[in-house]
Amino acid sequence: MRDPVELDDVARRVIAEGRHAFEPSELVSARVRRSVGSKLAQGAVTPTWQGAHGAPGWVKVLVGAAAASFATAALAYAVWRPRPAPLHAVISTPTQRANSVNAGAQVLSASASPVELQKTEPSAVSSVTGSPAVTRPQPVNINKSESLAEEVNLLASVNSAIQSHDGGQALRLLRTYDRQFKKPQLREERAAAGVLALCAAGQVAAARTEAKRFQSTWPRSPLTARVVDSCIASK
Amino acid sequence: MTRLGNTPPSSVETRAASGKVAPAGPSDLYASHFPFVWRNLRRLRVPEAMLEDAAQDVFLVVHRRWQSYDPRWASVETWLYGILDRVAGNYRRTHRRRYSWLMPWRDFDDEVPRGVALDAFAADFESCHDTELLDRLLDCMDEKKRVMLILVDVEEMSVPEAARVLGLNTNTAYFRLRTARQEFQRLVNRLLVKDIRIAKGGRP
Repeated sequence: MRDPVELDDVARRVIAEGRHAFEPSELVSARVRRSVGSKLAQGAVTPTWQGAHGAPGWVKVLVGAAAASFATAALAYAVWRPRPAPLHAVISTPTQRANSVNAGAQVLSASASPVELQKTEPSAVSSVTGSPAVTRPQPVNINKSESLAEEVNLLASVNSAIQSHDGGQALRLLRTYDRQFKKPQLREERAAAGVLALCAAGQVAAARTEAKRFQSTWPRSPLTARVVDSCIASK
Repeated sequence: MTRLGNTPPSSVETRAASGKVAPAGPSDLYASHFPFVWRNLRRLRVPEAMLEDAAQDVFLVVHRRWQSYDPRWASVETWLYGILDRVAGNYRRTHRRRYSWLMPWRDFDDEVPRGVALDAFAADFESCHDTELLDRLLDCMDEKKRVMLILVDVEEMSVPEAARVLGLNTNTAYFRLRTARQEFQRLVNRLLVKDIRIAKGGRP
């Protein structure tokens, strides 16, 4: 098996000529060197793929032990914690219910998890009091990953609308996105989707303006090609 | 600013497994191997816009792991390629996760599907520079064969070294090199035929 076929002269020449194609410029080399140096100066930066292997053995043991004891404590608490009586079982008359709702909301907002908050508040409170004036606890504690998932879902809907050439719907969804996420985590994607949505709606001039803004804000974005290839390239 | 490479593994220059002189520290390695890292990240399909970040990550890992590098066991290229292969994999995954929702019709695993690549290449073959030919042809190859050809014929590693990088048995590596060269030769021959046709003034 140890006789790999030899390439002919032409193939060898192709390899020889292309071997050092696309070499980095001095400028790029210096820039990367400077970035590496400054990251090292800021402290050890560990790229994600090899973080755990780099830690000394005793650190791994300590972290493992801490994680195990935390998991045990959490499990014990989950099994033994006292269950509060349901709100409707404690409150008997409508007046009592109305008075206790605000107190209950305060207790909940101080102690319950965001998931519990969302589960208990809206329908239970309104049906119990029958009054629209009751203050509801706001589900402000949605954690970051849930919020990110919502952002992704909404942008995926925008993308579907763009693909079915429904520019109006795409723009409506983007307005919803802007209202819903004051500090979005997918700003770059939202901006790119904005250009494509404007294209789908036939608003080429606006798309061109948005595209310019996109390119100046994220000049090295992998989405640039997609933005540049949109309707703004057609004229 | 911290200087790269103030922790050489030994005080004197060490002769590596390949017989070449091993660099004394990450700083020397950066000076001598930055182009190697750059072009291989590119050939491992790291998106153009992420190349600088990926190269940066490679050298951060190099800096952290320099103490574990033993030049008696592997050439520095073998060791470095192992690192950059993992970093490139990470960047490809990140790119795919981040952008696949926006461009669902694109296959991020295989940035340029092979059939399409060859057709597109054949279409503008005349305008292609000689230096681009190699990479355009490599884009048309099966991934495993492509990597083997890059390691042995482009980067001029020995077959046992390439086998170590790819975690292959040496015989398997020789077999893969054989098939990789056959495929590459076929592609070159196809273009050669086309080149002759163009030279004769016929349709490509």
